[in-house]
This record gives sequence, C-alpha cells and structure tokens, in this order.
Amino acid sequence: MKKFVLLLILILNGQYYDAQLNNEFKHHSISIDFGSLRNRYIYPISNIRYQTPLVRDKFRFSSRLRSYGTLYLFTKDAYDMTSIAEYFICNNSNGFIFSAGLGLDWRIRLVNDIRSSASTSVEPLFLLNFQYSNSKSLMKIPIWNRFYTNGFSFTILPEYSFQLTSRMAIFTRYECGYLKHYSFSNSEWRQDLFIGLNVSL
Amino acid sequence: MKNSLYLVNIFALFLFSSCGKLPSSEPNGTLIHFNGDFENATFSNFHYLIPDISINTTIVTNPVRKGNYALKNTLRPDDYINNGYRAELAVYNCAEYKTDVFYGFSFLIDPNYTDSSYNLICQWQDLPNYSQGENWQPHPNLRGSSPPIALVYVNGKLEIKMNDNPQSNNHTFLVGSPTSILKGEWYDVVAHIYWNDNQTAFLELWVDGELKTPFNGIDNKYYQRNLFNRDGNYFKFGQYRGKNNPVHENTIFFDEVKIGSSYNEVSP
Repeated sequence: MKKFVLLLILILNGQYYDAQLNNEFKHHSISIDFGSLRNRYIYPISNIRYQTPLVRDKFRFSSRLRSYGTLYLFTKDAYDMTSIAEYFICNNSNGFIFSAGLGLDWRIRLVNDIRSSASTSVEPLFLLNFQYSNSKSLMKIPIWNRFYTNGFSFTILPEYSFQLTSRMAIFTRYECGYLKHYSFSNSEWRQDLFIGLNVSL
Repeated sequence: MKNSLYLVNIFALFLFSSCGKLPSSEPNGTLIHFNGDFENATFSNFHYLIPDISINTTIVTNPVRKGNYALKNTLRPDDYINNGYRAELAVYNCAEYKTDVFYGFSFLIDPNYTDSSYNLICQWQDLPNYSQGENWQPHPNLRGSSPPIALVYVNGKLEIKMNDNPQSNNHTFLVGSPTSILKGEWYDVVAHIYWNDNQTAFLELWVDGELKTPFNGIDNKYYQRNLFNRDGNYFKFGQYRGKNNPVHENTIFFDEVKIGSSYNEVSP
C-alpha cells in the first residue's frame, strides 16, 4: 500500500511538473511587475520581462527592462536592462530544476543633476537558479552575481508564482542584494519587493 | 577544443567587460573646504533655490558679522518654488557618506521679522539614491520627508530638529533645548556632523560657542543616523516654510558661511 501511495505521488508530481513545463518552457512569456519597498522607504519601480521557451531543450533567453521612479514603465530618469542566456544543467522529473547563465546588465542613467554621480554602464552578470514547480505554483531562487570596477554584488531574487489559469500566473518577488567594495571593509545590503502578472503566449 | 576556447573567450570577455562602479557610495569621500563669506559681493559659489534672485537675495553692507558684506535673505508670502515657500542658497556634495564635516555660519533675525510659525534657517536635506536609479519626483511620489537635520527658528527660539523617518514629514523630533534668539543680534552657529546611515552618525552643535546638543555622559555628540541612503545629503540655508505660506515678508541676514574639517576653520 505504502509503495502504491508513493508511486501515485511520484506519478502525480510528474504530471504536475509536465503541466508546469508547458507554461514555463514551451511558451514565450511576458511578465509585468511593480514595487517596491526599498530599505527604509517606498519607491516606485516597474519591470517588464520577456523570456523565450526552451531552445534545443537546454537554453533559454530572457530580457528584463526595469524603470525607476514610475509604476507606468516609462520614465525619463533611469532604466536597467538585463539580458540573460540560461543553460539548464539538470532536468529531473520530480519538479526540481537547476540552471546557470550569463548575462549583461545595462544601467542607463539619464538624470542630469550635478549632485548625482550615477553614470550609464554595462556589467557582466552570472546566474545560478534553482526552481521547483507543481501544477499550481512555481518557486524560483535565482542568484545574480555582478562585477564592477571597484566591487561586486550578489543578489538573491526568490520568486513565487501561482497559476491562475492555464496561461496566466500572479507572482511576488523579493530581491535582496549585497554590495561590496574591493578596497573598503564596508558593504551594503539592499532589498526590494515586487508583485506582478505573468502571461504565457 | 575549438568550442572550449570559444567558451573561455566568452567568459574572459564577460569578466573584463565590467566598466561601471558599484552602485553604492565609497566611504571617506573628498571633503570640500568652502568659503561663502560674501566678501566678493557675489553668490557664485552657491546654488539657488530662489524665486527671484534680485529680490530674495541681496548683498548688503549693513548689518555684517565680519568683513564688508553679508547676505540679506527675504521671503515674501508668495515666494513658492520647488514645492515649497522658500528662498534658499545651497552647497552641494558637502555631506558625503562616512565623512566628518564642520559647518559654520552667522545669522541675524531682522527686527521687523513678525511671523511666529516655523522657519527652517538651515537644513541638511537628503538626496535620492541616484546610483540605484532614484530621482526627485517619482510617479507616484511616495516619500516626501523632512530633512534629517534642520535648524528651525520658531516663535523667538532656535530648535535643532531631526527626522529618522524617510516616509514622513511630520515625525521630526527636538534635540536638546531650544535657544532663545533676540532679533537684531548676530548669532554664530557651528555644527560638527559625522554622516552615516547607522547609529554611529552624530551631530554636535554650538551656538555662540556654547554646546547645544545634550551631554551623553562622555561628550555632547548626539548619536543618531542622519543619512536615508548612501548618496549623502546637501546643505542649504535661508528660509524654508514648506507648504505653510508666510503671513508677512520676513528677512534674515547671513554671513560667514563656511564648510571645513575643524571648528576653527568654520567658526566666524
């Protein structure tokens, strides 16, 4: 009996996983999300993200445009554009997936204020991602590692999404970043919080 | 083999393509030494937050605290600019993350000054976290806040006011006891501030050489974080009434505005 229940769980889990795979890996998808609760205050940020289905069963490409200071995606002040190519290393049938990727993070700063030292730049980005899915929900835990001329950063971006319909999901994402200078002992923690909607095309 | 080389090249390209700085301010930035004693009879060293330069800010020869010239700062009931009733001069990039700075200036309340409501005669206002994408006036604007440190002239007294809540403009708190101010007399103010976004930050303030921040058992440094983010603050002085418009035209005179690294450097 125990073996039967165990087998049933495995089969059902596999089916859930197949259902989730359809959305996650077999369709183009677009998501839009808004935030955010920064370290000590609320500041509006909006994101729009596009990701491809799996290419050759192993690769996926995604791109995210982040707009600062607005909930309406368009701003005259600051954008981040992050493009990532992801390689799926293992693809077990129990819902757990692991992937790694490379990307470029473009910081576009358009502010014209002499009090600002922010400048436009491009940084390389390394990604590790661990995710688990079942029929109704998907949990991703990506870690982004960026390199700068005078330091580096790690950002963990856990994201939980809940499937509303076969093509639509709502999600929430918490971003926690650790920024470290090479030359100084001090470091900085940053955090942001987002909610959004994902649509599989 | 060819594929491996290709991958190594791509990896190297990524690793060395980093061309921007970490979006977090470096500590111990360059300290500026600023002299705004008005002796060249211009405002060339300052930035303006003023409706009409020819009316709100004029150079006068009487009264002066030292030398030949001083600033006459006038705020009229309709002087509204940048979301507030104000006539202020500003100095930028002088309150950087983890720097230890002295600020000094002298002021005189005109004998005909009549309003009894609050008036910020100087403030160290926070900035958006530019390096992390922020700017003034986001949509919607969710975080109007009082400056982390301000000196407020209200009802014949000078108060040290601080704010620790970047979301609020009505949660300021008083530091020390208010100082009684007589109209028509010069007062010298020196502030010693260590800027940080944690509780190692402090403020030490003198009026006419007398410490006004409370004794903490060791010294008169008032420990309280004074940066909302690491992009620093900036200094401005003059008159600021927020949304509370002045009833009458009011004048305050300023002289010997200085920024430096020691008490003696900035004290009039």
